[in-house]
Amino acid sequence: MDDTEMLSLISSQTALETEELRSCNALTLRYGLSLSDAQIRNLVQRRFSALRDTGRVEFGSGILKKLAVEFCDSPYISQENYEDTLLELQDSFYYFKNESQDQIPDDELISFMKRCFDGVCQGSLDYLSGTTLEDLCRNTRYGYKTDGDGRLF
Amino acid sequence: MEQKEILPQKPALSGRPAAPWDAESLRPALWELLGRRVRRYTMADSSSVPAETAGELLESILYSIGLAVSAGAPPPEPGNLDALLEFSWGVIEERLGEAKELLKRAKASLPPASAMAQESTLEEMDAFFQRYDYRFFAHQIPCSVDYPLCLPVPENLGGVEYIREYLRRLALENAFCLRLEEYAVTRLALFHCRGDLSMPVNLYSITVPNALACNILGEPIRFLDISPAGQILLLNQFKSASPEEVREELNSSALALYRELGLSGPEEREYLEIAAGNLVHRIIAAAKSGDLAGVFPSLPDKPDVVFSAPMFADNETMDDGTLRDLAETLSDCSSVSEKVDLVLRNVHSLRDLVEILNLCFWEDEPDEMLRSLDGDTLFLLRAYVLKKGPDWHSETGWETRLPKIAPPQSRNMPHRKD
Repeated sequence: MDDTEMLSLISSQTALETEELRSCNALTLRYGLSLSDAQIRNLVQRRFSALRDTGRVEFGSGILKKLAVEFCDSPYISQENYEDTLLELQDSFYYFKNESQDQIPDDELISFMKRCFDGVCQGSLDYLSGTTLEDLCRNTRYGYKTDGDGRLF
Repeated sequence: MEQKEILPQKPALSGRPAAPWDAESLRPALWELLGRRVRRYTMADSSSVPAETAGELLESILYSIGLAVSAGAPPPEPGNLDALLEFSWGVIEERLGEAKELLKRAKASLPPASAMAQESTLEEMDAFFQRYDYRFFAHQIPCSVDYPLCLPVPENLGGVEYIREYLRRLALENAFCLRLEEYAVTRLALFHCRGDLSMPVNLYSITVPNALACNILGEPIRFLDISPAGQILLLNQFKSASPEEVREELNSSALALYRELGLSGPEEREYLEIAAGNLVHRIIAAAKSGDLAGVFPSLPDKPDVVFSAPMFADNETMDDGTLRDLAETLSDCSSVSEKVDLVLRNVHSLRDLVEILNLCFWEDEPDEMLRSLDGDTLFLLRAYVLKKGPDWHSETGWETRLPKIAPPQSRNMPHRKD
């Protein structure tokens, strides 16, 4: 897939994703979280750089909306760290999609991330990406049975 | 040398739409279609895929659309890509049916001296039909094709088109080799392989030069043997000839071969002519150096000394009476090792060996007999069984023991050392 094709894909998806994130604010406001237009632009731009960095191609509106909806009720996210957390989560998501060799569906990976983020990680993104997601992906690659938190039985 | 193609030119299958397609106007529609294919591929489990996967899916779409257009569908437009894709699946299924038929025929017409690479390649083709996922990766060839052809399939062909064309060309080559003396082909193959039939050496490209030379020299074609004196005659003929004269000589020899061997069909003739034409520059270069042995090798008088010739390769067969006597003696033997010893001392032909195996070795007895044979003879027996087809069964069932002793996947069957 060459750069021209990638750019074509990016331009057609930017508008769609921006609109979806904006509409997400209605839900997240209930938890005191919202994204400004500038933050949305930043998040959308980072989505494409995350995809490029991880060598992935995405069709449709992307994963940000799902992340925002899933994580908005986390006790560890406030308005101050909302954008940064979403940025980190988005990067981790694409990275670990690759690491798991695409064997974990999007929804399952997001749900696992949320459970660990609120649980064992206690809101630490470093802990999430450095330990629990690594464990999950390694165990998935090797086909080991794990509990709900990705740990070996 | 400019090589003529012996098949109709392939349409836009190289991965990108060719004229008269307007690729630029198709781009948005292609992206939409690719998005739908990605969703189908991931079963909506994942909104993103690795770029390599997306690239392969796109390549498959373009390949399939090219195939549909070549099969008579209208040219692609933004509104008909889905329809073209579905149409192409029908075309691919049809081609798969043709390829399966060709594979069946290829397996049933293996030359007895066929290199093991040909056998393993044909076995791999079965895996192709299991692995080939034409709805998502129609352009891929998910099998290993080790056996080289004399005239390789053009690289711009992909997927089932490649396999079908490969098998078609292989059938043309095998039809030629099957008309030659079995033992001569085996000797030549063993000579070129240095005694190791697992080497991927194309039988057609080693037999055609010798057959052409035999025809030029007026020697029997089927035996493929060129004497040192014959080589000198050929050298005298070719050393002062221009490339055009060499080409003309080879062409007329190819035509004579075509007639004498009873080949039929313009494709076989054309294939032979191209293969003969490809020899021109080799001959000119070899003639300049004063030695044509590299192009038209003389087979050694005592093959056993030079390479591991098989023990049983259709030498002179016994007369019926002697064979009957031997069979009776074998049935009186008290031990299997005694039987094996008798066979090794008295049987010198593959046909006789098969007869004896059919009549005199029962239950576990074939195991010991087969184990005592060298790798090349086992190989010839395997070729014999394959040639007989899946429905053939001997009375003693020795052929069912053969895969255990000489497994098909074995790339390095043992060779006699002496």
